[in-house]
Amino acid sequence: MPRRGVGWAAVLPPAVVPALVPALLVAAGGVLTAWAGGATERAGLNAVIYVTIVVALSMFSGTTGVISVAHVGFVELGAYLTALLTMPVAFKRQVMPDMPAVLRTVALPFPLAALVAMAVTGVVAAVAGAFLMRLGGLQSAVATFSLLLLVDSVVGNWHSVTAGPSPLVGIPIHATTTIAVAVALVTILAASVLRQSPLGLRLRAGRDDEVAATGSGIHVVADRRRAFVLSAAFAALGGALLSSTLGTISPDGFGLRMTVVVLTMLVVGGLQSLAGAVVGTVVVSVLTETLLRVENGTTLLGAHVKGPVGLSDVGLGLAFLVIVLWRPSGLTGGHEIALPFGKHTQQRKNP
Amino acid sequence: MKTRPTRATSLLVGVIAVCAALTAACGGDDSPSGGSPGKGGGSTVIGADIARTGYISAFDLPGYQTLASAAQDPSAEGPELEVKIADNKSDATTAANVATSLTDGGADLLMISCSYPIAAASTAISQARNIVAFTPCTSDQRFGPKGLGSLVYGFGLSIQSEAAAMAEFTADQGWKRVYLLEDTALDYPGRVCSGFKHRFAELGGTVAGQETFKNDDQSITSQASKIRAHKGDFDAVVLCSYPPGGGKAVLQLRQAGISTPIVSHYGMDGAFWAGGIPHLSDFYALSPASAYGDDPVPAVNDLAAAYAKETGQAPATGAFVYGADSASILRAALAKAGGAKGDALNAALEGLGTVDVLSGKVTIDPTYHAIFDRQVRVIRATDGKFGFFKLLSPKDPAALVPYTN
Amino acid sequence: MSAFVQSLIDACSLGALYGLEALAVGLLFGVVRVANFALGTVVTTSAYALYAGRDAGLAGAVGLALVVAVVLCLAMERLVFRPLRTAPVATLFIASFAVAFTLEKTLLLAFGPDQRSFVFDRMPSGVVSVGGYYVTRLSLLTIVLVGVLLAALVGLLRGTSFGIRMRAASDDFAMARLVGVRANAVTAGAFAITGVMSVVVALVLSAQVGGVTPSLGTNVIVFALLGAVVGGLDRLGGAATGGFVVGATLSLLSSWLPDRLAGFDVSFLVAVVIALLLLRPGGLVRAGTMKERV
Repeated sequence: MPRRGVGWAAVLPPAVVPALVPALLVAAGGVLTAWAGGATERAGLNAVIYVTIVVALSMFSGTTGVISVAHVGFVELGAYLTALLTMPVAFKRQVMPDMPAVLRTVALPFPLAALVAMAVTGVVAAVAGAFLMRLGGLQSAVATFSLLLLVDSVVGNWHSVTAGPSPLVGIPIHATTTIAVAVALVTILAASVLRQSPLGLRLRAGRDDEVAATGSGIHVVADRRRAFVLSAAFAALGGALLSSTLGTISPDGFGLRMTVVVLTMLVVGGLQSLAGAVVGTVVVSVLTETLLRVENGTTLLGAHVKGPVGLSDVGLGLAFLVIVLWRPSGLTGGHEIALPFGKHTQQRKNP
Repeated sequence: MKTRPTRATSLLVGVIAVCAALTAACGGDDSPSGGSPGKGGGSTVIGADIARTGYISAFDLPGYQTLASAAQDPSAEGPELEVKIADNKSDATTAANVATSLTDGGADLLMISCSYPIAAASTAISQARNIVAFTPCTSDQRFGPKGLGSLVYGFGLSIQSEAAAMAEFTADQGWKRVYLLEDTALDYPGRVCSGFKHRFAELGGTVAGQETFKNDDQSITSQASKIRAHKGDFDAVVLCSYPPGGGKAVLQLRQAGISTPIVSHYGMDGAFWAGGIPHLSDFYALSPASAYGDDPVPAVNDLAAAYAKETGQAPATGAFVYGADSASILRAALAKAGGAKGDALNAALEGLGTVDVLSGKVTIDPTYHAIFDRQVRVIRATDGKFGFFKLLSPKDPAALVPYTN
Repeated sequence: MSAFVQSLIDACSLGALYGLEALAVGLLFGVVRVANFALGTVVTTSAYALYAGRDAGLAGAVGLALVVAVVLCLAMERLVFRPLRTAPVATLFIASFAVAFTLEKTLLLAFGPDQRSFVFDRMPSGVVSVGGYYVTRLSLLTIVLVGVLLAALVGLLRGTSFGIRMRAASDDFAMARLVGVRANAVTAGAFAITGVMSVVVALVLSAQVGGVTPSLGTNVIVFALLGAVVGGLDRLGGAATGGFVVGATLSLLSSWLPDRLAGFDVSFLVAVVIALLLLRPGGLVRAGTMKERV
């Protein structure tokens, strides 16, 4: 357990301390971009939603060290479930008459729909996790990748429920920047509590030395499965935000590309720490948004610049590779970040 | 325990500094491109929220190109137009962001992608901001009040026109029994096929069978085998698809020795996908204009030549007329409405009646915000050469609306 | 009955193509422990090289593509995978994702999204019919090529000193180094061989498609990789068999799934893959002595 510091942070429960700086960063980003308004606010909103998704992924991958390629599938599930549950009944009857009655005849308020989406996705993850967590190394990566392909191909073909490859339109837009920031903060807090909980400590023990952890009586597989379920549920919450801010979703918004984006964010910040997930998301969002503007022509630091179209995608891939090659533990080095003021001890990577 | 406040702090400061720089940088965000220099404040600004990259860009870009040229044309009569483009990368989330930044940047109108999933994200923004949005390159009930919104229009060849023209053409050629091959990766091809089936049955045609594939399937060998097994039982294969998968399908049908005529629609317009199919013959597609210099309307051929001169390459598909056609429609409506205010422009467009455009005459249907009377060119490939074959005015495409959902 | 036999023939031709790509995946994994997703983009790049050299005829274009593909593979090895040699296998897999993504987007930037069409007169076309069944000449060529490459690789690994060093490195990398195998040369050699194989895949693939798009190889590598892992990455035969099984299953599914489920062929395939991974995590074709390198 982290030792309490002597600064004002000492009054806080130790479980929330690692959440402080990431939470401040997200809140500041949200306020700044909202203040700038317009396209910058939208970019900020996107980044904040990605914070939820990446922190959710880090609840599993960060604490277990096992990389999951399946999580964008959970985001997709959350997005579709929320969309289907919040769309007005009359609209569904008109647009998608073949939908099963369970879905067609209900319309839930957004918070309830998001909770249902989290729960259902959690159940899916629990079932899948029962099998997947037994695999390790490459088999695990390939199996989670297969799960992503499975979700993607079912969503993309189940015409009567998901409209198949067509987008769902007319999804009620509820999630504002404020709500997205609030959800991101809750997710960060949850991740922080998870890390400091007995489960989190067992997971990290298993991450750092699986053999020793098993030897000390830790059921590594069962614990990982719990983290997988929790992390999938929060990924679904990120998906809920996505569909409720965009008003439309389609299968091609998810899949391989989003997976590359999310994994890049996690790796750039640093896989092992909560701060890494948030810093990575912020840095990658700023980078891609800037490159996107350069593609379309913008004034940067007083000079007019216009780059080749497609620059931001190439930049995203390069960012990943540069970090993996030169700083494999990410920008944060896998550490949490202390507040820059107040005298207290810094948490270490492995308390 | 080890403390590392220095590095952590500097990292945090760095991140915040970069964010601040971005916020500052975006203050000067002014994507100027494709505009009309010399034309001042009075012009109507069209924000082009379209794909310069990604799968739909091949369909989006030609229309944008001629719209931008038409906007800069000094001899054009009517209200002045100015076009600003930003790339939505064939991606829905980006399209919504681009729609926001373009309308924030002063766009009075929004040009949206030809692809429904992408356009849907853009119109969620434009509709909320009371801005008219249009796609130059397609039209049907989804791009309108029955779908994306009351201020959304499609000025292109309607899906119903494609289906009706395909059925009429097939029947006229004396091909009474067909085999359908349908691409299910997007639902656009399937909707055309479904409209085709209805109209073809009305015209007395029958269907020998139907197979499906997905655009990114590596091989359609198994589908080709089943079609081949019915050899002699059908007069033509009807293909509903788009490149590159559609080209793959044509190639593999021919490789499998199926040499009957293949009838397709606008999705397969263009010759760019056929270079790998030696001596392709008996292939038919639909287009709003011939891109090969042999269109029955001379002005279309002039535009194709001008397009080639400006961009350095001949237009890939007939989509190049869409931008010019859209400019005429918009100029007429803007003049009538006296401005680009959403509701006024909407009323003007709905009551516009028949407009003379470069490729012929078009009428906007006030119920669906679609164009059902656009003339259709049948394009034929013979021995690998593509060219104009036949001009069609399909009968009552609007009646197919219920069958193309 | 005849429809079923024909669907088996079709399954063989798709299986051969995926088997060929899976063979490349298996070779690389066997020697350097990299499950290289970016091999798909090497195929795409090779196909663009074939396109660029199309006026020089088949031989000239293949020559150009060989140079491009081998240089690309060597650069990949030197710049990305050699520095990451000690990283976990899963990390390497994710890194190869990023390489593939970056390369594909670069190709998109350079060539645009439209298909670049081309064809070589000397590539086989048309079909061979025997007793009411048929198979395209291109499929026959693919099957022959897989056989030839498999035999050549086995010959290389068993019969040449380079191959023996390669197998030594594959069995125990550290030990091989200690006994004087130049690890870098062996690794680079393995990458170069996958470059050559990618050109063969690109040749077949572009002939089957009639050209090249920036995502040409991506679809193939997804299934080839699943196949290679299912079949067993530690043996060339296992990987190739897995790729073949995955391709053939996909083809049979698209032949025989009822219309109502026609779109779900990939879903069923992936479900089978996950099940096989759980039941036989070591692969369908098990290796005798392989162990995870720590």
